[in-house]
Amino acid sequence: MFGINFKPRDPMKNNTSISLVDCSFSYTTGQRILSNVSLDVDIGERVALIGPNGAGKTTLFLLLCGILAPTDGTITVKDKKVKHNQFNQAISYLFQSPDDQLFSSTVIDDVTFGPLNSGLTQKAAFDQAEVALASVNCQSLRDKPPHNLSGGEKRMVALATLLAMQPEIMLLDEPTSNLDMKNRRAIITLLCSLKKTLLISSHDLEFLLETCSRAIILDQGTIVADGPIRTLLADEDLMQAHHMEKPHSLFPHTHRRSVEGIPRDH
Amino acid sequence: MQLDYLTAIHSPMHTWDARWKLAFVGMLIFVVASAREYTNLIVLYLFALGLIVYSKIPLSSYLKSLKPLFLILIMMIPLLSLTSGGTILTQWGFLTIYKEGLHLSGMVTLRACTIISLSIIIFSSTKLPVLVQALSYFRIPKGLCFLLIVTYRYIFLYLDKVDKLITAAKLRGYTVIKGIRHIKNTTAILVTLLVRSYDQSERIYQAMQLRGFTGSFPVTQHFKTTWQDIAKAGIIFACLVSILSLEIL
Ligand SMILES: Nc1ncnc2c1ncn2[C@@H]1O[C@H](COP(=O)(O)OP(=O)(O)OP(=O)(O)O)[C@@H](O)[C@H]1O
Ligand SMILES: [Mg+2]
Repeated sequence: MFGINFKPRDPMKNNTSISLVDCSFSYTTGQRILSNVSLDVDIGERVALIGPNGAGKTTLFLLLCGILAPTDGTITVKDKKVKHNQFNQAISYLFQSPDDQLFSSTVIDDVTFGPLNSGLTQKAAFDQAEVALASVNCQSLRDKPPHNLSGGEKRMVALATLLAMQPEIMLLDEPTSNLDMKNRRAIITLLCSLKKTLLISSHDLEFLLETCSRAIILDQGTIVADGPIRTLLADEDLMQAHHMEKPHSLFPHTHRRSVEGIPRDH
Repeated sequence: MQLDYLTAIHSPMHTWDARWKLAFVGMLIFVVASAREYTNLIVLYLFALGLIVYSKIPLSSYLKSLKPLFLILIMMIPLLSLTSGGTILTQWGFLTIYKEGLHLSGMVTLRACTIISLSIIIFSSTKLPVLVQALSYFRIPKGLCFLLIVTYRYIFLYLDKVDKLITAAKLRGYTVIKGIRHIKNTTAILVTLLVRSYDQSERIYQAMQLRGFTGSFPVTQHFKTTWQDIAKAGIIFACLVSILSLEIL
Protein backbone atom coordinates (compact mmCIF):
# COMPACT_ATOMS: atom_id res chain seq x y z
CA MET A 1 0.00 0.00 0.00
CA PHE A 2 1.36 3.39 -0.89
CA GLY A 3 1.35 5.93 1.89
CA ILE A 4 -1.97 7.37 0.95
CA ASN A 5 -4.81 6.32 3.14
CA PHE A 6 -8.45 6.88 3.83
CA LYS A 7 -9.07 10.36 5.04
CA PRO A 8 -10.11 10.63 8.67
CA ARG A 9 -13.87 10.63 9.13
CA ASP A 10 -16.07 12.23 11.69
CA PRO A 11 -18.08 9.35 13.17
CA MET A 12 -20.78 11.70 14.40
CA LYS A 13 -21.58 13.03 10.98
CA ASN A 14 -23.31 10.56 8.77
CA ASN A 15 -23.05 11.67 5.24
CA THR A 16 -21.86 8.38 3.80
CA SER A 17 -23.44 7.46 0.52
CA ILE A 18 -21.72 4.18 -0.29
CA SER A 19 -19.89 1.98 2.13
CA LEU A 20 -18.13 -1.34 1.58
CA VAL A 21 -16.67 -3.29 4.45
CA ASP A 22 -14.20 -6.09 3.74
CA CYS A 23 -15.89 -7.17 0.55
CA SER A 24 -14.58 -10.10 -1.43
CA PHE A 25 -15.92 -11.65 -4.55
CA SER A 26 -15.26 -14.58 -6.86
CA TYR A 27 -17.16 -15.63 -9.95
CA THR A 28 -18.21 -19.26 -10.21
CA THR A 29 -14.83 -19.99 -11.79
CA GLY A 30 -13.45 -19.70 -8.25
CA GLN A 31 -10.73 -17.17 -8.88
CA ARG A 32 -10.80 -14.23 -6.46
CA ILE A 33 -11.65 -11.08 -8.33
CA LEU A 34 -12.00 -8.71 -5.38
CA SER A 35 -10.38 -9.24 -2.01
CA ASN A 36 -11.13 -7.35 1.17
CA VAL A 37 -12.24 -4.13 -0.44
CA SER A 38 -13.24 -1.46 2.05
CA LEU A 39 -14.39 1.90 0.89
CA ASP A 40 -16.53 4.87 1.90
CA VAL A 41 -17.91 7.48 -0.43
CA ASP A 42 -19.57 10.63 0.87
CA ILE A 43 -22.77 12.13 -0.43
CA GLY A 44 -22.03 14.39 -3.37
CA GLU A 45 -18.46 13.15 -3.76
CA ARG A 46 -17.10 12.43 -7.25
CA VAL A 47 -14.71 9.53 -7.15
CA ALA A 48 -12.60 8.06 -9.95
CA LEU A 49 -12.08 4.32 -9.99
CA ILE A 50 -8.99 3.48 -11.98
CA GLY A 51 -6.88 0.43 -12.61
CA PRO A 52 -5.66 -1.78 -15.44
CA ASN A 53 -7.91 -4.04 -17.54
CA GLY A 54 -9.28 -6.87 -15.49
CA ALA A 55 -8.63 -5.12 -12.17
CA GLY A 56 -12.22 -5.66 -11.06
CA LYS A 57 -13.77 -2.24 -11.60
CA THR A 58 -16.86 -3.45 -13.44
CA THR A 59 -17.25 -6.26 -10.93
CA LEU A 60 -17.20 -3.73 -8.10
CA PHE A 61 -19.96 -1.73 -9.79
CA LEU A 62 -22.08 -4.84 -10.26
CA LEU A 63 -21.73 -5.57 -6.54
CA LEU A 64 -22.70 -2.02 -5.60
CA CYS A 65 -25.95 -2.10 -7.52
CA GLY A 66 -26.93 -5.58 -6.35
CA ILE A 67 -26.50 -7.48 -9.61
CA LEU A 68 -23.81 -9.59 -7.95
CA ALA A 69 -23.58 -10.50 -4.28
CA PRO A 70 -20.27 -10.36 -2.40
CA THR A 71 -18.91 -13.69 -1.21
CA ASP A 72 -17.79 -11.92 1.98
CA GLY A 73 -18.40 -8.55 3.55
CA THR A 74 -21.24 -6.06 3.47
CA ILE A 75 -22.21 -3.23 1.19
CA THR A 76 -24.47 -0.40 2.27
CA VAL A 77 -25.90 2.27 0.05
CA LYS A 78 -27.66 5.18 1.77
CA ASP A 79 -27.63 3.27 5.07
CA LYS A 80 -29.44 0.33 3.54
CA LYS A 81 -27.75 -3.01 3.08
CA VAL A 82 -27.54 -3.95 -0.61
CA LYS A 83 -29.27 -7.24 -1.23
CA HIS A 84 -28.68 -9.47 -4.20
CA ASN A 85 -31.14 -8.78 -7.03
CA GLN A 86 -33.05 -6.18 -5.06
CA PHE A 87 -32.61 -2.95 -6.84
CA ASN A 88 -32.49 0.39 -5.17
CA GLN A 89 -33.90 3.29 -7.19
CA ALA A 90 -31.42 5.66 -5.56
CA ILE A 91 -28.54 4.05 -7.42
CA SER A 92 -28.13 3.69 -11.14
CA TYR A 93 -25.49 2.08 -13.27
CA LEU A 94 -24.20 2.92 -16.72
CA PHE A 95 -23.16 -0.40 -18.23
CA GLN A 96 -19.75 -0.67 -19.86
CA SER A 97 -21.49 -1.52 -23.14
CA PRO A 98 -24.55 0.56 -24.09
CA ASP A 99 -25.88 -2.42 -26.04
CA ASP A 100 -26.62 -4.00 -22.68
CA GLN A 101 -28.72 -1.05 -21.69
CA LEU A 102 -30.89 0.07 -24.59
CA PHE A 103 -33.70 -2.18 -25.66
CA SER A 104 -36.72 -0.19 -26.80
CA SER A 105 -37.81 0.54 -30.33
CA THR A 106 -37.23 4.28 -30.02
CA VAL A 107 -34.90 6.40 -27.96
CA ILE A 108 -37.73 8.23 -26.24
CA ASP A 109 -39.39 4.93 -25.24
CA ASP A 110 -36.14 3.87 -23.66
CA VAL A 111 -35.65 7.08 -21.74
CA THR A 112 -39.24 7.14 -20.43
CA PHE A 113 -39.03 3.48 -19.39
CA GLY A 114 -37.50 4.19 -15.97
CA PRO A 115 -39.71 7.14 -14.99
CA LEU A 116 -42.84 5.20 -16.02
CA ASN A 117 -41.73 2.27 -13.88
CA SER A 118 -41.34 4.56 -10.91
CA GLY A 119 -45.01 5.41 -11.20
CA LEU A 120 -44.98 8.78 -12.90
CA THR A 121 -47.85 9.71 -15.17
CA GLN A 122 -47.29 9.48 -18.89
CA LYS A 123 -46.89 13.23 -19.17
CA ALA A 124 -44.54 13.64 -16.23
CA ALA A 125 -42.43 10.74 -17.47
CA PHE A 126 -42.16 12.25 -20.94
CA ASP A 127 -41.26 15.65 -19.51
CA GLN A 128 -38.54 14.11 -17.39
CA ALA A 129 -37.26 12.16 -20.39
CA GLU A 130 -37.15 15.23 -22.61
CA VAL A 131 -35.14 17.10 -20.00
CA ALA A 132 -32.72 14.19 -19.71
CA LEU A 133 -32.31 13.98 -23.49
CA ALA A 134 -31.75 17.72 -23.71
CA SER A 135 -29.07 17.58 -21.04
CA VAL A 136 -27.01 15.24 -23.22
CA ASN A 137 -27.89 17.15 -26.43
CA CYS A 138 -29.73 14.20 -27.94
CA GLN A 139 -33.18 15.65 -28.62
CA SER A 140 -32.66 15.05 -32.32
CA LEU A 141 -32.34 11.29 -31.72
CA ARG A 142 -35.68 11.19 -29.93
CA ASP A 143 -37.56 8.99 -32.39
CA LYS A 144 -34.70 6.89 -33.73
CA PRO A 145 -34.27 3.20 -32.97
CA PRO A 146 -31.41 2.90 -30.44
CA HIS A 147 -29.74 -0.06 -32.16
CA ASN A 148 -29.10 2.05 -35.27
CA LEU A 149 -27.26 4.80 -33.39
CA SER A 150 -23.54 5.33 -33.55
CA GLY A 151 -21.39 4.10 -30.67
CA GLY A 152 -21.10 7.56 -29.15
CA GLU A 153 -24.80 8.36 -29.60
CA LYS A 154 -25.70 5.12 -27.83
CA ARG A 155 -23.47 6.16 -24.92
CA MET A 156 -25.15 9.55 -24.62
CA VAL A 157 -28.64 8.04 -24.81
CA ALA A 158 -27.74 5.39 -22.24
CA LEU A 159 -26.61 8.21 -19.96
CA ALA A 160 -29.92 9.98 -20.56
CA THR A 161 -31.83 6.87 -19.46
CA LEU A 162 -30.02 7.10 -16.12
CA LEU A 163 -30.50 10.85 -15.74
CA ALA A 164 -34.23 10.49 -16.36
CA MET A 165 -34.43 8.28 -13.26
CA GLN A 166 -33.02 11.17 -11.19
CA PRO A 167 -30.89 8.83 -9.08
CA GLU A 168 -28.88 10.08 -6.11
CA ILE A 169 -25.90 7.90 -6.93
CA MET A 170 -24.57 7.13 -10.38
CA LEU A 171 -22.03 4.45 -11.19
CA LEU A 172 -20.52 5.19 -14.58
CA ASP A 173 -18.51 2.50 -16.32
CA GLU A 174 -16.30 4.10 -19.00
CA PRO A 175 -18.70 6.95 -19.80
CA THR A 176 -16.37 8.56 -22.37
CA SER A 177 -15.57 5.54 -24.50
CA ASN A 178 -16.50 6.17 -28.16
CA LEU A 179 -17.22 9.84 -27.55
CA ASP A 180 -15.93 12.60 -29.79
CA MET A 181 -14.37 15.72 -28.31
CA LYS A 182 -17.62 17.67 -28.26
CA ASN A 183 -19.62 15.01 -26.46
CA ARG A 184 -16.76 14.24 -24.12
CA ARG A 185 -16.67 17.91 -23.16
CA ALA A 186 -20.46 17.96 -22.79
CA ILE A 187 -20.28 15.02 -20.38
CA ILE A 188 -17.56 16.70 -18.32
CA THR A 189 -19.63 19.86 -18.01
CA LEU A 190 -22.75 17.86 -17.22
CA LEU A 191 -21.13 15.67 -14.57
CA CYS A 192 -19.49 18.65 -12.87
CA SER A 193 -22.84 20.39 -12.63
CA LEU A 194 -24.69 17.41 -11.13
CA LYS A 195 -25.22 17.39 -7.39
CA LYS A 196 -24.95 13.62 -7.15
CA THR A 197 -22.61 11.03 -5.77
CA LEU A 198 -20.60 9.74 -8.70
CA LEU A 199 -18.30 6.78 -8.97
CA ILE A 200 -16.63 6.77 -12.37
CA SER A 201 -14.46 4.09 -13.87
CA SER A 202 -12.44 5.10 -16.91
CA HIS A 203 -9.12 4.78 -18.67
CA ASP A 204 -9.42 8.40 -19.80
CA LEU A 205 -7.40 9.93 -16.97
CA GLU A 206 -7.60 13.49 -18.25
CA PHE A 207 -11.37 13.22 -18.15
CA LEU A 208 -11.24 11.95 -14.58
CA LEU A 209 -8.90 14.77 -13.56
CA GLU A 210 -11.50 17.25 -14.73
CA THR A 211 -14.49 15.61 -13.10
CA CYS A 212 -13.35 13.93 -9.89
CA SER A 213 -11.68 15.13 -6.74
CA ARG A 214 -10.72 11.75 -5.37
CA ALA A 215 -9.28 8.63 -6.97
CA ILE A 216 -9.15 5.00 -6.00
CA ILE A 217 -6.66 2.69 -7.67
CA LEU A 218 -7.77 -0.88 -7.94
CA ASP A 219 -5.34 -3.56 -9.06
CA GLN A 220 -5.82 -7.30 -9.01
CA GLY A 221 -8.90 -6.92 -6.88
CA THR A 222 -7.48 -4.82 -4.08
CA ILE A 223 -7.49 -1.10 -3.41
CA VAL A 224 -3.86 -0.07 -3.62
CA ALA A 225 -4.31 3.67 -3.19
CA ASP A 226 -7.04 6.10 -2.26
CA GLY A 227 -6.63 9.85 -2.10
CA PRO A 228 -6.87 13.21 -3.86
CA ILE A 229 -6.85 12.56 -7.58
CA ARG A 230 -4.09 15.06 -8.46
CA THR A 231 -1.74 13.61 -5.87
CA LEU A 232 -2.31 10.02 -6.90
CA LEU A 233 -2.11 10.48 -10.65
CA ALA A 234 0.99 12.66 -10.35
CA ASP A 235 2.86 9.90 -8.52
CA GLU A 236 4.82 8.40 -11.38
CA ASP A 237 6.09 5.39 -9.45
CA LEU A 238 2.66 4.51 -8.19
CA MET A 239 1.12 4.83 -11.64
CA GLN A 240 3.81 2.74 -13.28
CA ALA A 241 3.60 0.04 -10.64
CA HIS A 242 -0.02 -0.44 -11.69
CA HIS A 243 0.49 -0.30 -15.44
CA MET A 244 -0.71 3.25 -15.93
CA GLU A 245 0.91 6.47 -17.05
CA LYS A 246 0.95 9.83 -15.38
CA PRO A 247 -1.38 12.05 -17.45
CA HIS A 248 0.30 14.67 -19.64
CA SER A 249 -1.50 17.58 -18.07
CA LEU A 250 0.25 16.84 -14.79
CA PHE A 251 3.71 17.36 -16.31
CA PRO A 252 4.88 20.97 -16.19
CA HIS A 253 5.21 22.75 -19.59
CA THR A 254 3.78 19.95 -21.69
CA HIS A 255 0.95 22.22 -22.64
CA ARG A 256 3.17 24.65 -24.58
CA ARG A 257 5.18 21.83 -26.13
CA SER A 258 2.13 20.07 -27.40
CA VAL A 259 0.69 23.26 -28.85
CA GLU A 260 3.74 24.15 -30.83
CA GLY A 261 4.59 20.56 -31.60
CA ILE A 262 8.33 21.19 -32.03
CA PRO A 263 10.96 21.02 -29.30
CA ARG A 264 12.24 24.54 -28.62
CA ASP A 265 16.00 24.20 -28.45
CA HIS A 266 17.22 27.46 -29.96
CA MET B 1 -31.21 -7.28 -35.62
CA GLN B 2 -34.21 -6.14 -33.73
CA LEU B 3 -37.62 -6.17 -35.23
CA ASP B 4 -39.31 -3.51 -33.19
CA TYR B 5 -38.26 -0.76 -35.56
CA LEU B 6 -40.77 -2.25 -38.00
CA THR B 7 -43.56 -1.57 -35.50
CA ALA B 8 -43.81 1.94 -36.91
CA ILE B 9 -45.30 0.61 -40.17
CA HIS B 10 -49.03 1.06 -40.73
CA SER B 11 -50.73 -2.11 -41.83
CA PRO B 12 -53.87 -4.06 -40.93
CA MET B 13 -51.61 -6.45 -39.04
CA HIS B 14 -50.17 -3.62 -36.97
CA THR B 15 -53.59 -2.33 -36.01
CA TRP B 16 -54.88 -5.75 -35.09
CA ASP B 17 -55.71 -6.01 -31.37
CA ALA B 18 -52.58 -7.57 -29.85
CA ARG B 19 -54.58 -10.08 -27.83
CA TRP B 20 -56.29 -11.56 -30.89
CA LYS B 21 -53.08 -11.45 -32.86
CA LEU B 22 -51.15 -13.27 -30.19
CA ALA B 23 -53.80 -15.92 -29.69
CA PHE B 24 -54.39 -16.73 -33.35
CA VAL B 25 -50.89 -16.40 -34.76
CA GLY B 26 -49.77 -18.37 -31.69
CA MET B 27 -52.18 -21.17 -32.57
CA LEU B 28 -50.90 -21.11 -36.11
CA ILE B 29 -47.34 -21.58 -34.84
CA PHE B 30 -48.55 -24.53 -32.83
CA VAL B 31 -50.13 -26.10 -35.90
CA VAL B 32 -46.92 -25.58 -37.90
CA ALA B 33 -44.90 -27.24 -35.17
CA SER B 34 -47.16 -30.28 -35.19
CA ALA B 35 -47.83 -30.59 -38.96
CA ARG B 36 -46.52 -33.86 -40.45
CA GLU B 37 -47.40 -33.48 -44.15
CA TYR B 38 -45.11 -31.81 -46.67
CA THR B 39 -47.95 -30.24 -48.62
CA ASN B 40 -49.50 -28.83 -45.48
CA LEU B 41 -46.20 -27.30 -44.44
CA ILE B 42 -45.85 -25.73 -47.86
CA VAL B 43 -49.38 -24.32 -47.67
CA LEU B 44 -48.66 -22.97 -44.19
CA TYR B 45 -45.45 -21.36 -45.37
CA LEU B 46 -47.23 -19.70 -48.29
CA PHE B 47 -49.89 -18.49 -45.88
CA ALA B 48 -47.20 -17.06 -43.61
CA LEU B 49 -45.68 -15.31 -46.62
CA GLY B 50 -49.11 -13.89 -47.38
CA LEU B 51 -49.29 -12.54 -43.86
CA ILE B 52 -45.84 -10.98 -44.27
CA VAL B 53 -47.12 -9.12 -47.33
CA TYR B 54 -50.29 -8.19 -45.43
CA SER B 55 -48.10 -6.75 -42.65
CA LYS B 56 -46.26 -4.60 -45.23
CA ILE B 57 -42.92 -5.85 -43.92
CA PRO B 58 -40.35 -4.92 -46.57
CA LEU B 59 -38.95 -7.95 -48.34
CA SER B 60 -35.40 -6.87 -47.55
CA SER B 61 -36.07 -6.72 -43.79
CA TYR B 62 -37.79 -10.08 -43.97
CA LEU B 63 -34.88 -11.72 -45.76
CA LYS B 64 -32.42 -10.07 -43.44
CA SER B 65 -34.25 -11.51 -40.45
CA LEU B 66 -34.22 -14.94 -42.03
CA LYS B 67 -30.57 -14.87 -43.05
CA PRO B 68 -29.06 -16.06 -39.76
CA LEU B 69 -31.57 -18.90 -39.71
CA PHE B 70 -30.40 -19.96 -43.16
CA LEU B 71 -26.85 -19.96 -41.94
CA ILE B 72 -27.71 -22.25 -39.07
CA LEU B 73 -29.76 -24.51 -41.35
CA ILE B 74 -26.92 -24.71 -43.85
CA MET B 75 -24.73 -26.05 -41.08
CA MET B 76 -27.36 -28.50 -39.91
CA ILE B 77 -28.76 -29.91 -43.12
CA PRO B 78 -25.61 -31.72 -44.27
CA LEU B 79 -25.39 -33.32 -40.85
CA LEU B 80 -28.98 -34.47 -41.02
CA SER B 81 -28.92 -35.76 -44.58
CA LEU B 82 -25.59 -37.48 -44.10
CA THR B 83 -26.27 -39.19 -40.86
CA SER B 84 -29.88 -40.25 -40.51
CA GLY B 85 -31.86 -42.89 -42.38
CA GLY B 86 -31.36 -46.19 -44.17
CA THR B 87 -32.30 -45.68 -47.82
CA ILE B 88 -29.22 -44.63 -49.73
CA LEU B 89 -29.92 -41.94 -52.32
CA THR B 90 -26.47 -41.26 -53.72
CA GLN B 91 -22.96 -41.97 -52.66
CA TRP B 92 -19.78 -40.09 -53.46
CA GLY B 93 -16.74 -41.62 -51.87
CA PHE B 94 -17.32 -41.57 -48.15
CA LEU B 95 -20.33 -39.25 -48.48
CA THR B 96 -23.67 -40.99 -48.34
CA ILE B 97 -26.93 -39.13 -48.68
CA TYR B 98 -29.91 -40.87 -47.18
CA LYS B 99 -33.44 -40.37 -48.35
CA GLU B 100 -34.81 -40.12 -44.82
CA GLY B 101 -32.16 -37.60 -43.91
CA LEU B 102 -33.01 -35.42 -46.90
CA HIS B 103 -36.71 -35.67 -46.13
CA LEU B 104 -36.10 -34.72 -42.52
CA SER B 105 -33.94 -31.73 -43.50
CA GLY B 106 -36.67 -30.50 -45.82
CA MET B 107 -39.25 -30.72 -43.05
CA VAL B 108 -36.99 -28.99 -40.55
CA THR B 109 -36.22 -26.18 -42.98
CA LEU B 110 -39.83 -25.58 -43.90
CA ARG B 111 -41.02 -25.73 -40.33
CA ALA B 112 -38.26 -23.44 -39.06
CA CYS B 113 -38.83 -20.89 -41.83
CA THR B 114 -42.57 -20.82 -41.23
CA ILE B 115 -42.28 -20.51 -37.46
CA ILE B 116 -39.67 -17.78 -37.73
CA SER B 117 -41.78 -15.94 -40.33
CA LEU B 118 -44.80 -16.03 -38.06
CA SER B 119 -42.72 -14.84 -35.11
CA ILE B 120 -41.33 -12.07 -37.26
CA ILE B 121 -44.91 -11.02 -37.97
CA ILE B 122 -45.81 -10.88 -34.29
CA PHE B 123 -42.68 -9.06 -33.19
CA SER B 124 -42.52 -6.60 -36.04
CA SER B 125 -46.13 -5.56 -35.74
CA THR B 126 -46.40 -5.28 -31.95
CA LYS B 127 -44.29 -3.25 -29.57
CA LEU B 128 -42.84 -5.31 -26.77
CA PRO B 129 -44.69 -3.51 -23.94
CA VAL B 130 -48.00 -4.03 -25.73
CA LEU B 131 -47.15 -7.67 -26.28
CA VAL B 132 -46.41 -8.18 -22.62
CA GLN B 133 -49.63 -6.40 -21.73
CA ALA B 134 -51.53 -8.74 -24.04
CA LEU B 135 -49.81 -11.71 -22.43
CA SER B 136 -50.82 -10.64 -18.98
CA TYR B 137 -54.35 -10.36 -20.32
CA PHE B 138 -54.26 -14.12 -20.82
CA ARG B 139 -53.33 -14.40 -17.15
CA ILE B 140 -49.87 -15.54 -18.05
CA PRO B 141 -47.96 -15.30 -14.77
CA LYS B 142 -45.43 -12.49 -14.40
CA GLY B 143 -42.58 -14.96 -14.15
CA LEU B 144 -43.43 -16.44 -17.51
CA CYS B 145 -43.70 -12.98 -19.08
CA PHE B 146 -40.18 -12.32 -17.77
CA LEU B 147 -39.01 -15.48 -19.37
CA LEU B 148 -40.63 -14.61 -22.68
CA ILE B 149 -39.06 -11.17 -22.78
CA VAL B 150 -35.65 -12.58 -22.00
CA THR B 151 -36.05 -15.37 -24.56
CA TYR B 152 -37.20 -12.92 -27.20
CA ARG B 153 -34.18 -10.71 -26.63
CA TYR B 154 -32.04 -13.78 -26.47
CA ILE B 155 -33.08 -15.33 -29.76
CA PHE B 156 -32.62 -12.14 -31.70
CA LEU B 157 -29.34 -11.31 -30.04
CA TYR B 158 -28.18 -14.78 -30.92
CA LEU B 159 -29.18 -14.57 -34.56
CA ASP B 160 -27.63 -11.13 -34.77
CA LYS B 161 -24.36 -12.39 -33.30
CA VAL B 162 -24.24 -15.32 -35.71
CA ASP B 163 -24.74 -12.90 -38.57
CA LYS B 164 -22.01 -10.54 -37.37
CA LEU B 165 -19.63 -13.36 -36.70
CA ILE B 166 -20.05 -14.82 -40.16
CA THR B 167 -19.43 -11.41 -41.69
CA ALA B 168 -16.30 -10.97 -39.60
CA ALA B 169 -15.16 -14.46 -40.50
CA LYS B 170 -15.77 -13.82 -44.21
CA LEU B 171 -13.48 -10.82 -44.00
CA ARG B 172 -10.85 -13.26 -42.85
CA GLY B 173 -11.37 -15.62 -45.76
CA TYR B 174 -14.06 -17.88 -44.38
CA THR B 175 -16.51 -19.55 -46.75
CA VAL B 176 -19.55 -21.64 -45.97
CA ILE B 177 -17.90 -24.63 -47.65
CA LYS B 178 -14.90 -24.36 -45.35
CA GLY B 179 -17.29 -23.95 -42.44
CA ILE B 180 -18.95 -27.24 -43.31
CA ARG B 181 -15.61 -28.94 -43.72
CA HIS B 182 -14.52 -27.78 -40.29
CA ILE B 183 -17.89 -28.53 -38.80
CA LYS B 184 -16.42 -29.10 -35.34
CA ASN B 185 -14.99 -25.57 -35.13
CA THR B 186 -18.15 -24.07 -36.54
CA THR B 187 -20.30 -25.89 -34.00
CA ALA B 188 -18.00 -24.75 -31.19
CA ILE B 189 -18.43 -21.15 -32.33
CA LEU B 190 -22.21 -21.46 -32.53
CA VAL B 191 -22.29 -22.86 -28.99
CA THR B 192 -20.00 -20.14 -27.66
CA LEU B 193 -22.34 -17.57 -29.15
CA LEU B 194 -25.30 -19.24 -27.48
CA VAL B 195 -23.67 -18.70 -24.11
CA ARG B 196 -22.52 -15.20 -24.94
CA SER B 197 -25.89 -13.96 -26.08
CA TYR B 198 -27.46 -15.53 -23.02
CA ASP B 199 -25.11 -13.42 -20.90
CA GLN B 200 -26.02 -10.30 -22.82
CA SER B 201 -29.75 -10.87 -22.60
CA GLU B 202 -29.28 -11.33 -18.88
CA ARG B 203 -27.42 -8.03 -18.63
CA ILE B 204 -30.15 -6.26 -20.57
CA TYR B 205 -32.67 -7.69 -18.18
CA GLN B 206 -30.62 -6.55 -15.20
CA ALA B 207 -30.37 -3.07 -16.68
CA MET B 208 -34.17 -3.04 -17.00
CA GLN B 209 -34.57 -4.07 -13.38
CA LEU B 210 -32.17 -1.35 -12.28
CA ARG B 211 -34.57 1.08 -13.86
CA GLY B 212 -37.42 -0.21 -11.75
CA PHE B 213 -38.83 -2.91 -14.01
CA THR B 214 -40.72 -5.54 -12.08
CA GLY B 215 -42.20 -7.61 -14.86
CA SER B 216 -45.05 -5.52 -16.16
CA PHE B 217 -44.74 -2.52 -18.37
CA PRO B 218 -46.65 0.56 -17.31
CA VAL B 219 -50.04 0.43 -19.02
CA THR B 220 -49.94 2.78 -21.97
CA GLN B 221 -52.58 1.27 -24.16
CA HIS B 222 -56.10 0.07 -23.58
CA PHE B 223 -57.31 -2.76 -25.72
CA LYS B 224 -60.62 -2.54 -27.53
CA THR B 225 -61.91 -5.24 -29.83
CA THR B 226 -63.57 -4.16 -33.06
CA TRP B 227 -65.32 -6.26 -35.70
CA GLN B 228 -62.19 -5.97 -37.86
CA ASP B 229 -60.20 -7.70 -35.13
CA ILE B 230 -62.64 -10.59 -35.15
CA ALA B 231 -62.66 -10.78 -38.96
CA LYS B 232 -58.87 -11.07 -39.05
CA ALA B 233 -59.02 -13.81 -36.44
CA GLY B 234 -61.63 -15.53 -38.61
CA ILE B 235 -59.26 -15.68 -41.60
CA ILE B 236 -56.51 -17.29 -39.55
CA PHE B 237 -59.00 -19.63 -37.96
CA ALA B 238 -60.21 -20.82 -41.38
CA CYS B 239 -56.62 -21.63 -42.34
CA LEU B 240 -56.07 -23.42 -39.06
CA VAL B 241 -59.14 -25.58 -39.38
CA SER B 242 -58.48 -26.55 -42.99
CA ILE B 243 -54.88 -27.59 -42.29
CA LEU B 244 -55.88 -29.49 -39.19
CA SER B 245 -58.59 -31.38 -41.02
CA LEU B 246 -56.15 -32.22 -43.84
CA GLU B 247 -53.67 -33.51 -41.26
CA ILE B 248 -56.22 -35.71 -39.58
CA LEU B 249 -57.90 -37.07 -42.72
N1 LIG C 1 -18.78 -13.44 -15.66
C1 LIG C 1 -17.49 -13.67 -15.34
N2 LIG C 1 -17.08 -14.92 -15.03
C2 LIG C 1 -15.80 -15.15 -14.70
N3 LIG C 1 -14.84 -14.21 -14.64
C3 LIG C 1 -15.17 -12.96 -14.93
C4 LIG C 1 -16.52 -12.62 -15.30
N4 LIG C 1 -16.56 -11.29 -15.55
C5 LIG C 1 -15.31 -10.83 -15.35
N5 LIG C 1 -14.47 -11.82 -14.98
C6 LIG C 1 -13.05 -11.67 -14.63
O1 LIG C 1 -12.94 -10.80 -13.54
C7 LIG C 1 -11.84 -9.94 -13.67
C8 LIG C 1 -12.26 -8.51 -13.45
O2 LIG C 1 -13.14 -8.15 -14.49
P1 LIG C 1 -13.79 -6.70 -14.59
O3 LIG C 1 -14.72 -6.70 -15.73
O4 LIG C 1 -14.33 -6.32 -13.26
O5 LIG C 1 -12.50 -5.82 -14.92
P2 LIG C 1 -12.40 -4.26 -15.19
O6 LIG C 1 -11.54 -3.69 -14.12
O7 LIG C 1 -13.74 -3.67 -15.34
O8 LIG C 1 -11.59 -4.23 -16.56
P3 LIG C 1 -11.72 -3.24 -17.84
O9 LIG C 1 -10.90 -2.03 -17.53
O10 LIG C 1 -11.13 -4.02 -18.93
O11 LIG C 1 -13.16 -2.94 -18.04
C9 LIG C 1 -11.23 -10.23 -15.03
O12 LIG C 1 -10.06 -10.97 -14.86
C10 LIG C 1 -12.27 -11.03 -15.75
O13 LIG C 1 -11.63 -12.02 -16.54
MG1 LIG D 1 -14.79 -2.86 -16.88
